[in-house]
Amino acid sequence: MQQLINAIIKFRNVLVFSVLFLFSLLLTSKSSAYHREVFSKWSTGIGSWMHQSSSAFGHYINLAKDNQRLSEENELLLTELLQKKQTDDNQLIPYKVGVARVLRNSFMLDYNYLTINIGENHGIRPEMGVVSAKGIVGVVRHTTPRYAQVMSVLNKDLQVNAKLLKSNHFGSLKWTGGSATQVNLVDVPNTAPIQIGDTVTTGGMSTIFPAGIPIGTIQNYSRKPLTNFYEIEVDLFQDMTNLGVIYVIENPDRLEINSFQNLSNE
Amino acid sequence: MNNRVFSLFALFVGLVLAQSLLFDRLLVAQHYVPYVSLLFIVLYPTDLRQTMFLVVAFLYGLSIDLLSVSGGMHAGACLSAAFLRPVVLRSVFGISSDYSAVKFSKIPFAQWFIYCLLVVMTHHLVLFGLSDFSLNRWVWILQKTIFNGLLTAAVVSIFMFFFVSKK
Repeated sequence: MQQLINAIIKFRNVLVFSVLFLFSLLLTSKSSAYHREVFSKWSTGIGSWMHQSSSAFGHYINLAKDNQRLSEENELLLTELLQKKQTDDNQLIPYKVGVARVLRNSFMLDYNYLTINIGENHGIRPEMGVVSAKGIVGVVRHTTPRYAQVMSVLNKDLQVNAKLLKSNHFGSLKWTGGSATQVNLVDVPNTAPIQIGDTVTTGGMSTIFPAGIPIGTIQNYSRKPLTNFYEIEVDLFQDMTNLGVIYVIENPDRLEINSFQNLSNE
Repeated sequence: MNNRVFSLFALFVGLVLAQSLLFDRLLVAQHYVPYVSLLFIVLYPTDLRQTMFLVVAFLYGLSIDLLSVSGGMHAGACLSAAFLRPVVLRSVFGISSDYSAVKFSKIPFAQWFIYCLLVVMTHHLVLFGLSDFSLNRWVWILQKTIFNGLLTAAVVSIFMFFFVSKK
């Protein structure tokens, strides 16, 4: 405080000059229409520049918040989209979506898993589907109160019901190891019309994923010898080595639907 | 001391009135006005406090502005001249630390003129700068500052010589 007072005393002339000069500028700016015009032009220029600089700085500072907001917006849009799709298909399953961030992701092993930053406290339960903005990612396997482990599509144990978008022929999606960008689609009957580049989506025959979530495109296919099925290689839309924000899809009617299936199995 | 304050006050009022009522109407070569009012700034005692000088110079300029309806141009110009006067004093009279010892009555005319010219130029540059307030017209501002500065410095130096030598 003493130093501040000393500095003020030391630079008092500069301070007095600055204050009075600013005051004279203010008076001058009001003196005529010309000066008012010029000052208003200057102040608009300086004001805009300062506003732009400060808002650029603010944008940078608020990036994390903006990301969060966009994720929440995506979550809402995805929920609405899924519900719309279900309505169009006359299946009124009220899917819900939760947004999460990937904390750990393995893709080099034969049985790969992801860890995400939401768990039981957020309503996450095993057997929920996990998707990204581009396509499917995996299925929730284990949960703790704050985290969940997701079985990646790059896991030899995972099978997902899938279909050819064009012809509605169903099959099973499996990963046989190897490339992190490719999975196999099996059990598609060889009567199905098929072309390289065709889109593969989820089939909607399970309670995990709604129908129509993109998976990838056909990269190669062949007839499986001695069977009536194709063996199809699918290029994944989602780069599984680069995951950030993902969405967990909850089907609130899952247990009820599964109970029927269990009954019929018995 | 009181006598000195009274003299300064009289100079203040007299020069403000003279400038606004008389010299402002005295156009030389259709463009230039002798700003005799600057006598107050150049003659203000050097041994008085600089901070007070700044405030007085501002009020002095403001008084001229009020009579000339010119916003705050003279206030800003007089203030700037007062602010830079110590620098001018040091550079002209070569006194590095104690410029308050300057006695105007013992100074040769050439030095007076240079001192006046520098103070006047500072004042005019700010005055015309504020008056035109456009960087695009800097040539005109500089030209007016130089020619009007020479005129004012000449008139002020003559007046100053007259005032100081009478003391």
